[in-house]
This record gives sequence, structure tokens and C-alpha cells, in this order.
Amino acid sequence: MTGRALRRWIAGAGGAALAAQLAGYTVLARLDPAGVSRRTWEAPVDRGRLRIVYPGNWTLESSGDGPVFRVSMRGPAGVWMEVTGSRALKALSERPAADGERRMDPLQRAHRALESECRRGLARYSGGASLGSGALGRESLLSFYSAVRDGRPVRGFRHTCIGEERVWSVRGECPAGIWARTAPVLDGLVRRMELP
Amino acid sequence: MAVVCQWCGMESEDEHQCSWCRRMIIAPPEPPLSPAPAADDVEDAGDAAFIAPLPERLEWFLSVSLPLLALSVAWARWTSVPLPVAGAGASLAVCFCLSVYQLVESVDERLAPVGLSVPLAVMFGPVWAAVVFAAIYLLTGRRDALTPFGLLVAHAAAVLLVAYARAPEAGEAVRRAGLLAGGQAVSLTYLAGVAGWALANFWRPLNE
Repeated sequence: MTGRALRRWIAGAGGAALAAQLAGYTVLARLDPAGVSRRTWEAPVDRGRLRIVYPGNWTLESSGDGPVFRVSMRGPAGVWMEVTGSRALKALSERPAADGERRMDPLQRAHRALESECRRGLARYSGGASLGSGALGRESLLSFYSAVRDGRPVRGFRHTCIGEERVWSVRGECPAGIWARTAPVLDGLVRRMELP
Repeated sequence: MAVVCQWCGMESEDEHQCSWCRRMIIAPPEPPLSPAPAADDVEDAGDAAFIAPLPERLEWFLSVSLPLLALSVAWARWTSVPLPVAGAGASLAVCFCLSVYQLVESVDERLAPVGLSVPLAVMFGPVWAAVVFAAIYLLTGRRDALTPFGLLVAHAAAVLLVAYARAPEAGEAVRRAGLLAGGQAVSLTYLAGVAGWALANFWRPLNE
């Protein structure tokens, strides 16, 4: 092999190694629920502001400004989050406690009321105890669950907090196999959320 | 009879092979009889005799810089080295190769434009600095603006690749590499590129 051919071969190998790395890293980043960059979505709601910072490789859809305000976010690998604000639940949480709810405060009542909605579409649902959490910038309750959705095991969590005019519920769910990797990402998103 | 080597500039006892750098000494061109050309013309003729053709220099540049860039990208991706450090390493390597294979002018004559490019790149980012030097070349025809332009483009490409390895998303990589904005830690990596360019002067012919 002549010197010139050797130089060309080395240059080609170097270029190929570079291109292969960049392509590989691009594919890996697109499959990673953590994403690389962050986007900010904001909307005026109830004389306040709803602000969500989410990964750049996720999609976000919002719907409704009436009784139920809903923002859905979908990431790669079956990861999703949903933020729901309900005026009806706010009224429910403020009504006088029924006999069986005397020991529950409004937040606990709202959190419990949202459990049935959380179970929808899930089989073999197993929910944990509710924990106090300040992740949404105000007093909130947090529960973790594991279940089966469409035949696949999933794990998730739901936060509930009482806003100025709505009860806000923030849910996150992902396939059980990637829970350990995804939970910190979802937790980070919840902590950066601003709810009215 | 001692002769001056055109490669290393040292006095050689052997008039055919330099006793210092062991390179072959080429006899300087015969002085013209008449009419006497300008001094610059003689210098240019000497340059052409000692510099390899552009395709060969490009081959050398690519065969060394591309593997080095591939290694830098892997280094930035798989270790926790800070991005400015990895970017500085990549920029130094690429600008060194750019200079050592004579794709840009050498440090001994072109110090001022490159010196000017440093504060511009650090304050405004390498892309805007490169735009300034491209504009200078296009508007005034000053060829010495091409040296900082080449260094800035090579530096920006190297740092962008390293940043992309760390954050594989185009917009995010441009932001992290500080290509369009100065005043960041990564902006200082251009100093490493300039250092590589200057360092290469020890390995390249002084009579360019």
C-alpha cells in the first residue's frame, strides 16, 4: 500500500468512525425519555399561568379551558405524562365531608377521588399509600402504582394538589422495565411545573 | 560550505542534506538576470517550490484530523470530561493539523489577524467572528483574513462535533458549543485552537 493510499484509508476510517458515532448518538438520544434539550409550554389558566418544561423529543397537546383542562405529553419508549385540572373536583373537595371521610382533609378526598380515573384502562392495579409531597410548589399528595396496560406491565405515579380554582392531577407512567431510569426524569418534570 | 536549510532555518554543514533536520536541501532559485522582479514575486516563487500540492496537504490533514476528531468525540461522550476541556482538545488538534499541513498561513507573518480573531471569538462566538473575517476578505480582498477565517471554521466544527456527542440535538449542540454567543467557558476554547496553530509552526517550514 502506498503512502497516499494509506492516508486515504486512514482518513476514510476516521471519517466513518466519526459519522457512525454521531449517527449512533443521535438515535440513542431520540430513544431516550430524558431527552437532550428542554422546551417550555405556557398557557394562561384561571387568571394564573400553567407552565411546563418538558424534554425536546416529547410531544405536548393541550385541550379545553372549561371544567377540565388537560395537557398530555408523550415521550419515547411509551413514557407519558398528563396534567389535568378539574373544577368539579375542587367543588367536591370543598363540600362537607361525608361520614366515611371525616378523617380526610380536602386534599386527601380529591386524591382518593382521582384513583378511579387512574385505574381506567389498567389491569391488576396495585397502588401504594399516599405520601406528602411538595413537588408542585404547594402541598400535594403522591401515590405510586404498578399495573398492566394492554398486556404490558407499567409503573406510574400521580400527584394531586389543590390550586386556586381547580384540583390539579399530574400523572406519569412508563413501562415497568425502564422505571428506574425514567422516574428521575418524570420527577424532574414535575418539580419544574408551575400550576395556577 | 555552510548553507541555510530552508526547512528548519539552521545552518547545515552538508549542502545536500540538512545536518539538523535531515531533510533534503533544495538549491534556491537562480537570481534572474533582467528585468529584476519585485521581491514579493521571488518570495512567492520560493513558496511554490517548497509547499506540497493542495490535494496532498488536504489528504494529510484529513488522515490525521479525522481520527483525532473521532477520538475526541468518543472522549467527550463516554467520559465526564467538561465540555470546554474536550472542545479545547479537539480545537487544538484540528487547528494544529490545519497549520502543520499548510492549509492556513503560518504564525510568523499572520499574527495580527489571528490575534484580532481571539477577542472577537471570545466575545461574540466563532461563527460571528468568522463572518467578520469572511466579509473582510470579500470586501477588501485581504488574503490574511483567510487565516483566522480558516481557524475559526475549523475550531467551530471541532467544538460543535464534541458538543453534539454530549448533547445529540442540533440546536442544543450549537448552544452548548457557544457558536453564536460568546462570554462562556467554551468560548475560551478558541485559545486552544490558536495555540495549536502557533504550535504547528515548529513543525512546518519557516520559509513559507
